[in-house]
Amino acid sequence: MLKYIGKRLLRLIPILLIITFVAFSLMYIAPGDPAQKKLISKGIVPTEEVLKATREEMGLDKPFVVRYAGWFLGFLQGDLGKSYANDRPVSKLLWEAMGKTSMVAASALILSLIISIPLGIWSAVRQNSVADYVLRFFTFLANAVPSFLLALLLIYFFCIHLKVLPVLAKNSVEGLILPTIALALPICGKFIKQVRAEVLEQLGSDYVVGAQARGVHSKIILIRDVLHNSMLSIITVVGFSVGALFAGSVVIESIFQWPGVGKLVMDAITSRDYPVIQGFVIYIAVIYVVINLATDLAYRVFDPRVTDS
Amino acid sequence: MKKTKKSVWLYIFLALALALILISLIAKEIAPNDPNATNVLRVGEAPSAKFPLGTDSLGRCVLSRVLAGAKTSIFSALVLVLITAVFGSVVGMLCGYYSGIADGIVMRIIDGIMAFPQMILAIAVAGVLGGGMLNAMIALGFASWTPYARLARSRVISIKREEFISAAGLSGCSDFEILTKYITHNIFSSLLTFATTQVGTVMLGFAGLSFLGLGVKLPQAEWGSMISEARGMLATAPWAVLYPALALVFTVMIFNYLGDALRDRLDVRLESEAKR
Repeated sequence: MLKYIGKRLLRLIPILLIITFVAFSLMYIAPGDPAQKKLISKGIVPTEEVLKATREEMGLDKPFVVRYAGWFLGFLQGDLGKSYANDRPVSKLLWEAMGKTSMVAASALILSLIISIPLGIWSAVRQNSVADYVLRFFTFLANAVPSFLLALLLIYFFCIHLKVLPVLAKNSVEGLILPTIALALPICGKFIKQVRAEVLEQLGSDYVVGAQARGVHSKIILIRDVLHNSMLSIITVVGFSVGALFAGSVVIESIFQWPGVGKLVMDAITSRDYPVIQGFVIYIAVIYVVINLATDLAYRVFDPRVTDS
Repeated sequence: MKKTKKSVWLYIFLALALALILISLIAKEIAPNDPNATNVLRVGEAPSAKFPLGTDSLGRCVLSRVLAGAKTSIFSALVLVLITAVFGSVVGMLCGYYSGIADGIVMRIIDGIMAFPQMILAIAVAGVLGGGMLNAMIALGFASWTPYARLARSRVISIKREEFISAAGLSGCSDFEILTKYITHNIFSSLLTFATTQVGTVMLGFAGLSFLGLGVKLPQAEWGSMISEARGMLATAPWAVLYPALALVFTVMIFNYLGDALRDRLDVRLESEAKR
């Protein structure tokens, strides 16, 4: 196990290099001179002298690799540069916003698990019943409805039609309800599908048939054995869905004006605040990588049959 | 019995998908009005005989714009899936066939790109490039070619030691011939199925970018940007949001169903391979 963890951590090194390289390059794929862009986004008129000073300050006279190396060393120390817009450290901005995003993302994740696990099991146990068909149609629908659309439908229904909830989130618990639902339901589609498939596979396996033959009550088989054995694959999907959660939150936050990382990055895109965009991309990628690594390790802890292949 | 039943669904969804493509091709001819003609006097009008699905915030015909948007949404998704599938598959096939150091390097790069959630990377790239149809396609393409490479590579590795491949080599086929004739033939169905399942995803990605203002440039009609434009009038003209939304959801569902039906019919399992 320790050997495996070591191996996985070693494999993270090239991934980390590429993540940071891609994020660093982002500023340079944008059309135009980086120094000029920085000045413009700060609202300074780029005269020839100021431009030259800024270029030197940004190290643009040095080769790309040197700049990347310097930036990477900073990144390792947690320094992601300063925002063009307000000169505050990017890591601090992201850290503050991440708390807000985590609130929505975590509540959406919990809500979708509460909805999906029972429904997925139900759908599998009643395979080919009317309920199963309805649920399968729902999972297909959920996979085709983007969260921004769901958000608008929720706003129309709850804020305009019923007038029971505020449109703008405004940091309140009430304001958290709609963003959470808008983020959770599209993910439920994937979760229910996965839980159903996994439970169906378990139900068809020998140990279930054996337990049934011994006269064990079907509910006990379901809860004690099947659900337990399905947990692994559910953990895996949760790991994969973290990416969808963050991507969804960018859109959701800009609709509900929720002050998380999604809103931060959309504001940064509008004002061409590149360090913030870079920092955001790295932040999400690192979280994503760590969570996927944790999922992988969880797999090994919970299922001793999984070995190196 | 079971197989024929599965085939029926496949043909039904294939027919529906082709019908959608056909509609988008003749969108200009069947649209009742000019999709870009604005009219300040008829802003947010309810559906009527002249405007069957109402008008939007600039008095444009919603039906005509939904039809025009079909062309943008469907074709951009199909073209992008085609390009990324071909590019990714070729890279993956070469890596799997020749292995070696180059394979190691390319695979590490792919690991790195896949370390980003696809949509996050696309939003960042499109955001930095500054929107527009082509930039949105570049952004989505950059983030979405990698699964094809992984899938093609793992399939090539699993069949390249088979006897018919060595037989082809012994009978004097060049690597190029082996790759194009025998290997492509054997891995095509997996790649085609995976590509089909991706059409809906790409379409939603495109709509998402457009919704954020990082997709098509206005006034070009696209479902995501139509929804975004109309959301300010949600209370007074809900049809301007509803109909492009229905078109988007319906189209994505058709292509998703088609992908699933194809997977069942060809009996290929690919999710785990493409992701790992």
